[in-house]
Amino acid sequence: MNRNKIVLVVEDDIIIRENLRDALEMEGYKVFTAANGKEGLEKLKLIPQPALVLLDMMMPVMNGREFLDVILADHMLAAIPVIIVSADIDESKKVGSKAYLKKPVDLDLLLQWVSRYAK
Amino acid sequence: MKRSNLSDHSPETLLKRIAELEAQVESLEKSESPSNQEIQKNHQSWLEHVLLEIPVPIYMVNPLSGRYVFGNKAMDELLGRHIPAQEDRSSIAGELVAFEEGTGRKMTLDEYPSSRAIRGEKVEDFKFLWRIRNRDYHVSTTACMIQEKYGNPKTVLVVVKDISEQVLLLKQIEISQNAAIEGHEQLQGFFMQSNIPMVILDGPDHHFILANPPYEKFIGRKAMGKTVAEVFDGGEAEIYKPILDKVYETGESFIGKELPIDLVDENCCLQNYFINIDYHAFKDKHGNTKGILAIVIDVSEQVKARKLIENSTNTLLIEKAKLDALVAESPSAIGLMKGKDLIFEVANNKWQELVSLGREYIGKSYSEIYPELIDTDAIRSIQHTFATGETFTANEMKLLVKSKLGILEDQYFDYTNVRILDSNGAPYGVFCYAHNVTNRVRNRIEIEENRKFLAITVENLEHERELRERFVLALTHDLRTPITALKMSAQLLSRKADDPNFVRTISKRIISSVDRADQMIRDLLDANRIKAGEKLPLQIKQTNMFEVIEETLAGLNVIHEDRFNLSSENKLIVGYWDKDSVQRVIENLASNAIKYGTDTKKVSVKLLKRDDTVEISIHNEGNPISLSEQQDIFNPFRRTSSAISGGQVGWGVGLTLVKGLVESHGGSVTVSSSSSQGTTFQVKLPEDSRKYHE
Repeated sequence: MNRNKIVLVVEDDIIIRENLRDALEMEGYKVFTAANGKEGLEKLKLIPQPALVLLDMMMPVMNGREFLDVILADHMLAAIPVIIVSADIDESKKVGSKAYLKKPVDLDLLLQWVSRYAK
Repeated sequence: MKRSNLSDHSPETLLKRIAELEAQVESLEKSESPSNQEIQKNHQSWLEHVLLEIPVPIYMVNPLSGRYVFGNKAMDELLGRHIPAQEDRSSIAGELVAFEEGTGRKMTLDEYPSSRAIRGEKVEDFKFLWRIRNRDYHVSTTACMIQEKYGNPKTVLVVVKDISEQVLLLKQIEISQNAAIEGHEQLQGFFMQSNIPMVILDGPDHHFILANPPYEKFIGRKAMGKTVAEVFDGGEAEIYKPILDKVYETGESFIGKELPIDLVDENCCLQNYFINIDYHAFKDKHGNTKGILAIVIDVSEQVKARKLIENSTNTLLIEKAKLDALVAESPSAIGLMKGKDLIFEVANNKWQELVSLGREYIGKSYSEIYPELIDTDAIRSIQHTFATGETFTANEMKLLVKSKLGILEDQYFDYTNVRILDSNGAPYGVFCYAHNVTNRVRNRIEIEENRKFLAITVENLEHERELRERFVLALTHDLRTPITALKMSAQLLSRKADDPNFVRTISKRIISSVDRADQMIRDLLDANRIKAGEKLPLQIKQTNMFEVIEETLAGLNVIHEDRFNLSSENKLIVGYWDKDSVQRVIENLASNAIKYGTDTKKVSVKLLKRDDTVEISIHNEGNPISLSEQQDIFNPFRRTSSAISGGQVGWGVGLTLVKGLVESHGGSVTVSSSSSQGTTFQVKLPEDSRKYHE
């Protein structure tokens, strides 16, 4: 499996999550999903290291900021680029991410950003 | 020696003056001011003292009963015993026998000066012979009725003057004159031995042919052989010589009362004296005036004592007037309570306004006037001051007193208690200076309360503002979620429009997202209705609860991948409810259980029918909800602190909506949560909700 094509989507809304999966898969990416930060961390242990994480911020159980802090503190994971895709208007939470895309996000713009990190 | 109005200084005047003072005392006693009373009591004790001690026999008789009221020391001395008050005059009549002067006839009780005064007669210089215990006294009496303010007789005052010596002297002179042969020797002997100052003046120039030692001692110079003009060369002769001339010319006696005279005493000091003078012309056998017998009685002490009374009375009256004005006009409430029983003697206008009008103060005790203050610090502080002499000051003391409206209420007082002592240094009473500061204290309390209320209001507003901001934040986020889904779905659709299965899937997502957005708007509107206290519109029909829950969970399972476990004893639980509302309740509670519960554990939903109630329990494991949050969790626009800090989704209307819907059915919803048991929301609905929603 081409590690450069693996993307992890961490998003609590099932429709957005599935839409992202469909859009990315159409572009040839291998997509894994998680419904919250905690699930996301568990997924990272099970799957090959992804080229990129698409991260929502406001989620139950473990939110995006907490997820980001954990992987930034983990030297094995810290290098994984993270793009935030969130409706949260508080941009102070984007520290440690590569980009901050505001919902409702434009699919073409999103795919451009993804292609930048996952080739 | 100054000329004076002789009649003004007569013993009669003294009597009148005493009577006037008595009357003044009485009128002052009746006056309403307690400080007057105080002064009057002082006056009375003064007066009694003077009357008692004055070296002139005085007694008083009750005109109604005819009984003795009072007799002074000089009177006791004269009678040889003390006559107690209330003794009947007739019983004394046995000891005292009066004989008419001249005739020697025994007088009846009716003729006594006291009897005559009782009948209203004016008795002045009434002379008679008084036989007391076998001894004869020549007395001159003056008696008068002292009347009260309203003209009612009060007491009869009798002043007795022992003139035995003068009468004896006169008799001696008469005897001498009549005998005409006894001569100078005997007369001179009598003169010289007498302790009353007296002289015999001879001829029209008034030569001192006899002047006894008491006389010369009294005037402080030698007089024998000289004329009056020579002896009194300091101007006094100008007053006395014309009188002597008249007596000599007319042969008529002269009696002068309380005449002032300045004389040099043994120590060469000028002294003011008051004297009574009797000038008696004596005649030769042809009836021609030969000379004048002059008798001088020093009455200085009596006059001075009386003047002292007059002066002190005036001074006291002036002081009293000043004090009255001061007390009356004082901006402080002033009360004077006498004795350990705290009887009010003074209560000025301010004092009467202090608590409530319409109370009678004077002569009543503190506890009579303020029954509500018995056994409070107010009365205890005054008693303490009276007992110890310690000045006590209270600041804003709260007392439960009867108000002007007659109701008991808390009022506040500043006051100072000061003990005052009487003239003997014994505790007399307590002066209390007080201010009713109720308005001041109430205003301050009101301001403080307003300030607190304002602070709470500001805090509440702040909190509400915070909640609203957070709500708007959550609302925008949550509404963006279906919109984001819609936008993505629409963009995706164009990318694979030729795949019918994909188009179908995406269509479902579009419909689902639109439904969600619509549901959010509906929930928001309904939560607002609940917040405004309105009932939610329901369409209650016969419904199978098991079916409704099963359908709802099936819908959720599509999204949440079979996370629910429904259990029920019976698959047919029929009642009357609004199906749509029940679905929304279950959706909300079940979604929350997924959202906040442990993702590896199933959410259990239990349905149970008990009598006429249906119970639905939705349980999840995971982080518990704290007790304080449990109390607040159903309130509008609140989310649990963990939900807020966790940056979790939802704007906090879900549980408010659940509660509103359940209550519209006449049911209830409760939450219990602990780390060991997890979290359970329990909904109870009546079997038939129709009667709760009409």
